[in-house]
Amino acid sequence: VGTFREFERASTTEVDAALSPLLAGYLHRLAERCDEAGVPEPTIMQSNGGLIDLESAAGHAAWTVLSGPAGGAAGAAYVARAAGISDALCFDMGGTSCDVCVVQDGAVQEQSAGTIADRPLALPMVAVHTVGAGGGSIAWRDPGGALRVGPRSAGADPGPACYGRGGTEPTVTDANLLLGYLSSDAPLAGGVELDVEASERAITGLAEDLDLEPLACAEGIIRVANAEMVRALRVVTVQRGIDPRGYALLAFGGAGGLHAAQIAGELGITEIICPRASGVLAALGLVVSPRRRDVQRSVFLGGDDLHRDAIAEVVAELGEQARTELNAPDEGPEAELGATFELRYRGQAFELAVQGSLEPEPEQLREAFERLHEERYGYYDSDQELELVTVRVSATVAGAEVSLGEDSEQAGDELERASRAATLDGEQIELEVLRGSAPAGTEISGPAVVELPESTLLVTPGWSGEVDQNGTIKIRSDGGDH
Amino acid sequence: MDPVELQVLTGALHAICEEMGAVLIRSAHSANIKERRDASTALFSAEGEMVMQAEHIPVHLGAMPAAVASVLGKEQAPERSWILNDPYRGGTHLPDITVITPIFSPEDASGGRDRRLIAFAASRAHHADVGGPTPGSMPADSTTLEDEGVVIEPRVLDDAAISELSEQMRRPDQRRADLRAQLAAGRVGALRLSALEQRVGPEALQEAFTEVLDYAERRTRACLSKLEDGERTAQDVLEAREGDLRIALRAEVHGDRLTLDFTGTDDQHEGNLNCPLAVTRSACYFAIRVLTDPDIPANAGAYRPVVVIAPEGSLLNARSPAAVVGGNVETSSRVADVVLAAFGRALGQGTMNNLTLGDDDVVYYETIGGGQGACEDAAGPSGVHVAMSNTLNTPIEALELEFPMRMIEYSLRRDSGGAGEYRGGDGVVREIEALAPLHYSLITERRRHAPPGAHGGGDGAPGRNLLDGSELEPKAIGELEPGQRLRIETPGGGGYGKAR
Repeated sequence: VGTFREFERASTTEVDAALSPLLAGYLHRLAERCDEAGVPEPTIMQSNGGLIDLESAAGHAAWTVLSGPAGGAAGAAYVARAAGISDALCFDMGGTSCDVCVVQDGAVQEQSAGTIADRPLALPMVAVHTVGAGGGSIAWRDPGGALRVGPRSAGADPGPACYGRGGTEPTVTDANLLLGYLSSDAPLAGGVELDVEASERAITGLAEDLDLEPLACAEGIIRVANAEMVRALRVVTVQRGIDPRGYALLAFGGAGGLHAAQIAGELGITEIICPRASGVLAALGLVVSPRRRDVQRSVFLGGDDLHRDAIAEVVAELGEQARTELNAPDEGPEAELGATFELRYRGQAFELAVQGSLEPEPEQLREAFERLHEERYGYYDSDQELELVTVRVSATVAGAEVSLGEDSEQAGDELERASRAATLDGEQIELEVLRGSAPAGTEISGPAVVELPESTLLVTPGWSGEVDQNGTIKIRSDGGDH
Repeated sequence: MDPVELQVLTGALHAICEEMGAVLIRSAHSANIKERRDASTALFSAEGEMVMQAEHIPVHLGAMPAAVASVLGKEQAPERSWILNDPYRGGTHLPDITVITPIFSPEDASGGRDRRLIAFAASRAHHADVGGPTPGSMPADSTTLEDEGVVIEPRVLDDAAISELSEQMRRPDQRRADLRAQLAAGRVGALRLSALEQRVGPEALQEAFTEVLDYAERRTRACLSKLEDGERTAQDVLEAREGDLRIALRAEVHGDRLTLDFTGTDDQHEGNLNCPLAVTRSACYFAIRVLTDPDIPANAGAYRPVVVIAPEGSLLNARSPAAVVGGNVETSSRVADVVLAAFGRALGQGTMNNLTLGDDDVVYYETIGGGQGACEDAAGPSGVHVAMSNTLNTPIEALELEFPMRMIEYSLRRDSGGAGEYRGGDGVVREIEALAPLHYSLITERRRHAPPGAHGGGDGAPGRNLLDGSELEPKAIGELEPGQRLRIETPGGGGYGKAR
């Protein structure tokens, strides 16, 4: 692991030792099947948002624990950049939970270490925050008479009542269906057909317990679920010193688009982007991500020991190790190196990570550190001794560039327009329905729903926009209170 | 108020408290606040009832209302905040400083002449030092409040007050930053709550306060009524320098109400194990959260069905100016213990094992984990903080880099947990060798008396403090020469049920 603090290091090693045999068995079977099918050996997404060869991943499962969310975050950042947006809150809502991350200046924010399932991991990873609210989250009445949503989830099996697989408890998806935001004649991804009567039965049971009309109860379920997610987003942004109003909300995952407009409204966000590949953004992330290997070492350089040559020597050693361990294919360009420096004022119990050149002057590190220190903690102190605690070097080989918009021309043939009744803020309204892949330039104005192949975007009154050349939907709020 | 509105507004109030906490932790300088998160934030109604609290530190639970009560009668104005730490005027122990900010309705278009007081925002944070003779302001041998640091009676907190108070404490720059962080937390609370009022309207906000309090009360009553009616008793001791001190409890459940009566507890003493009533209440409220449902919002409504009685002048309702620093960290643990014991729970280590080492230049303070008691369906975890403490350990590698000491051993203390169908958690061993002359101070408990098991489960092993192999008292101060070793063995938790 290479970094100081014995508990975190031991915990990381323990996780790695426990999971690697399981992961190795799985990956080796996967590699065999790929070989039989004539497909190249897969590369594996790591928690840091970079890919690594299968054999390295099989030996170091701790590198991969956030593989899924990291892929989603990488895909989200790619789509945001393609849409010309550099700062976004990414909001990936699936069946059981909702993952939130921040894209700043076009890059997914990372952290040097994290805690997964109560176990500290001293490895760099994308900064993803998870809330237990998803489409399958179950709504219930608590002993004090309040309407609650989650953390229990019906998952995919039995799933929400409307899946018709034996679920009888009302879920967020059931509420979306009963309110008309989802439709029983538009199957979900995977061909799941929705049974609106089953949703109504489930929600009516809860509504009676709460002394509410069923539709009011359904709207209540949505409001309570949204409030949970807004709370998480607020804390995530405040902790990082970010004002969400300057960010776009990038909604993805099967259920993200259904909740985006109301969540954006609560946070004062005025722009939403919803990618066409909303349900499979993680897969896009895998294609576009670089190969990457991080190596790190705690060095504790301070005072006179912190000088350019000493830093450059450590970086060079780590760089060579990182390139060797990246196991990049022989053809193609040599891996690029990037250095991260974890610094603190002497005596502090925590470090801040700054990017730097491969041979930085100590003054440059101090300047970058103090800028970040002021941003995070509201002050800096030029008189205090600076200590370089850990050096981390990444070797990367860039991923593929893909065009997101190639087939949006013929996609227009599939676009159907229709309308259906829905309930919003207690009123019956007509929603315009756009089904299929909308071509570039298609205008959308709320109230409307866009039924994308893998997800649904609900455009509430006051929001409007259009589809860009990549098939990404961008909508803006007119700022009014609707 | 309908069940949806209730839940949405409860969530909104909780979010405001959490945001206040995030701002406080982000902008404070003390490692205590930043790293160990020894801080709490809360919202109160204009009448001083605690409506919502962000959950950080158990011992702050019941003590914030007393702080707000102490400024209720004073003249409130927008942009004015209050500060206090006096344990006999709403505080807990001196390092915990409370800042209270009144919240007024938003200015109207006419310039805001009729701004109404709608609520209070409060924050409490454990400052690394509040002056007094001992660095860190956690002395093992104090006998009056004056020995423990600067006593702040409720007063207006402005720039002049910040300067004046900081100058009386160590690291005044850090104190100023921490106090400004508390002011910033109050401002964010005020901003968010007045925005919420503007959005939902003044009547709805006041109704939300009432409803959230009633809701917590209903949920507590529902849980209490599931407990069997009747009287239970429990008693336990504190290991003071002059001998054992008795804590006695009679707990009575009657329908959906609970009375906790500590009559029979020993009088306040010459040392620092005394508690102001607010600390006693906090410890009781913590135990009640364990016995009911931690999902219930922590507010004044949740504790309406509970009566806490502690005779004035006793250890648990001490009179000024008795010393209190050990009361907050150790006696509070024992109060929670006796309440849990009365309801048949196996107990955890019941001490924070407070260790301070230092010389003229460095001060190292930490609390050390131990065994948790077993539950009726699970073993107790080992090597964790129990009950009223909730902080991280200092990594050995960080300790040895910063201080003239070497860690000889840091390990689980095997078989120190009580036997039982479910075993109590094990304590830990932490043995430190001095590399330079150092002063040490230990405030520990459960050295003479073991943490009891329940329902046939065995007791946890009592803790031990050793200096080069010879046993020290539970409260000890002295000097270490280079090469001398201090070994702390923390208590194991009690077991649950007969071992099979």
